[in-house]
Formats: sequence, structure tokens, C-alpha cells
Amino acid sequence: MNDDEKFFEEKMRDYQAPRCPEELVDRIMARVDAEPQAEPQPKWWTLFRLRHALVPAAALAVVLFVLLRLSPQPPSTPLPEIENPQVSIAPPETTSTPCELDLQEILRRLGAKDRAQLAYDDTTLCEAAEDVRMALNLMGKAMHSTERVLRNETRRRVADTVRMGLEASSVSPAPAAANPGNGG
Amino acid sequence: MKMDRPAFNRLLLEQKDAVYGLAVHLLDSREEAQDVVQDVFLKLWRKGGAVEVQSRTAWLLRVCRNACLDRLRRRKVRRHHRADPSQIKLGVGSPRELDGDSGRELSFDLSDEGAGAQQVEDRSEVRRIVAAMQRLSEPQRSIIMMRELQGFSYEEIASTTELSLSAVKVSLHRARKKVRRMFEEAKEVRA
Repeated sequence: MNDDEKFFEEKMRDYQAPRCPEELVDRIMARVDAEPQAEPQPKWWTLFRLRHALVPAAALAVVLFVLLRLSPQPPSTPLPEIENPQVSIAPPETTSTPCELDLQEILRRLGAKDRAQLAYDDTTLCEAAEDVRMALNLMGKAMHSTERVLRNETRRRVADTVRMGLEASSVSPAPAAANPGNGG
Repeated sequence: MKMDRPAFNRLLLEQKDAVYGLAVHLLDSREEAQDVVQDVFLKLWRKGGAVEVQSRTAWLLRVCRNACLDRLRRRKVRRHHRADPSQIKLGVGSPRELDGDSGRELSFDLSDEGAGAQQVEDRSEVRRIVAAMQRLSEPQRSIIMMRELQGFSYEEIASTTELSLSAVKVSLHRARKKVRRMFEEAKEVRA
């Protein structure tokens, strides 16, 4: 106890705090009897009951279940095998879309106009492909013909050359035989 | 839980002196203190069971103190409007002496009648100590009055003033020093 505390203890030893007069108590109780007491307002958290939350929770669960069933599931990709645990695993960089849809799904999502346009494009493409195939066929036949012509021509030229060679070889001893005196 | 009449009556009888004493000390006026005490208890009754049973005493003291501080503020504003600046001697006497309110009374039952000279001197000292307490600013005034005049615990003072326990102890320590210094200075002047 420090000096200040001792000082107050000594000085205030005989001090008596004022007492509430009895007539004030009577007056207050008379007012209390005259005034009805207000009903205590319930706190908002006391209004909450578990059973009140069951119906919304069940409805929410059903909605979530339906949504999950309707939403397309992304194809599951196998996890890369970890050969070296020291190497940090990062997702592989890819330029493809994360979710691939099949052709039927795409067609289903297209509108009627788009589907017609796509069918028209498809037909046109098939016709063009047919034309290209026919052209290639013709080119092949032409090449065959050309090859055959060239082969025949080559054969003919070779035959001509051989014949001319044979003719030349058969002709060249004749002058020597015709002019024997020129040789000796 | 709704508070019934017997429970309210019991609480009133238990706490009336503490609430009334706090109001008298802060306001330095018995009439005003009675009005405040009546208002505070009726407010509790009207709130019904909204105030938790275990915190009703702290609630009463807190509401009483706030009501007293409101009245003191209004009184100060009225005094400010009425005051003649030439009659105010700054730094002399208690605020009660400055405001010229003759209806005021020092806040304790100290009758000099039939008392010996020593008793009269002691009571005069107590009056001066209480007057010095009333010159303090809030919350030191409330804290030292609740502690030294009414004997409240630190916890009760902390819940009433809405301060921490350490803040109450620090304020009380400073208030004691100030009051003692003022008291001794006044004593020297009288001597």
C-alpha cells in the first residue's frame, strides 16, 4: 500500500456513503406497479430452429444434385507418373481446350440454320473431294498413257538406232570389197 | 427471461444505496440523484428480461453513471449560457463554487451538530477531499469516487466505466495523487 492509499484510508475511515431514502423506494415501486412490463423481445438467433432449415436445405440438395447430373463431366486425365519426386509437378502446357466435345454434342448444340449450313458445306466439300479424286484419276490415266507412249517411242528409237547401226555395219565392208585395189 | 415484481424489488433493495450513492457523488445534488435513480430503475423494469440477470448490477451502475454525466453536461451548457464572465475566478474553489448553485450540497451525511472539535475537523477534511474529487475530470472522478467513497472493487469500476482493469488502476493512481495534492495545497493556504 503506497502513501496515497494510506492517506485515503486514514481520511475516509469514518466516511459513510449516502443512503437511498425509503420514500424513493416506495415511489419507484409505485411507478412499477402502475407500468406494465414490456415483453422481452426475442433475439433473432433464438428464432432460428433447426427444423426451419431442413426444408430449404433439402431443396437445395436436390437442385445441386440435378445440376451436377446435367452438367457434362470433363474427361478424366490420368495423372502423370512421378519418376523423380524431386521434380516439381506442374500442369503441362497445352493449347487445346480443356474440355473436348464430340461431334454429336456439337451438332446438338447448333441451331437449325447452322446445322443446314453445315450440311450444305459438308455436301459441297464431298463434291469437291469427288472432283479432286476424278481429276487425280484422270491424271493417273494420262500419266499411264504418257508413260506408255514414251516407252513405245523409246523402244522405237532404240530399234531404229539398232537397225541403223546394223545397216551401217553391213554397208561399210561393201565399199572395201568393191574397191580392193584401193587397199593394196 | 421476464423479471417479475418480487425479483425487481429484491434488486432495488440490494442496489439502491450503491446507485444512489454514485448519483449523489457525481451530481452533488440529492434531488437530481433521486430523479436519476428512479429513471434508472424504471428503465430496467421497462426493459423486462432484456438485461441478463448476472449483469444487472453492472448495467444499473453504468446507466446511472451515463445519466449523471449527461446531466452534468447539460448543467455545464446552462451555466455557460447564464454565466457572467466577470464573476468567474478561474482556478479557485470547486466547480460547484464556480457555478453559484446555492442548492447544492456536499455529498455525504455529515452533520456538525453534537460533534466534538476533532470530529468537526475530520468531517471538514472529508468535505474538502470530496470537493477535490469533484474537480477531477472524467473518468478519474467517477473512478476515485466509486473506489474511495463507495468501496467498489476494481472489477465493478471497470464494468461501470467500460474501461480495462489496468486503465482503472492507472486512473485511480493518478486521481489519488491529484486529490491529495489539491487537498494539501488547500491546507497550506488555510494555514
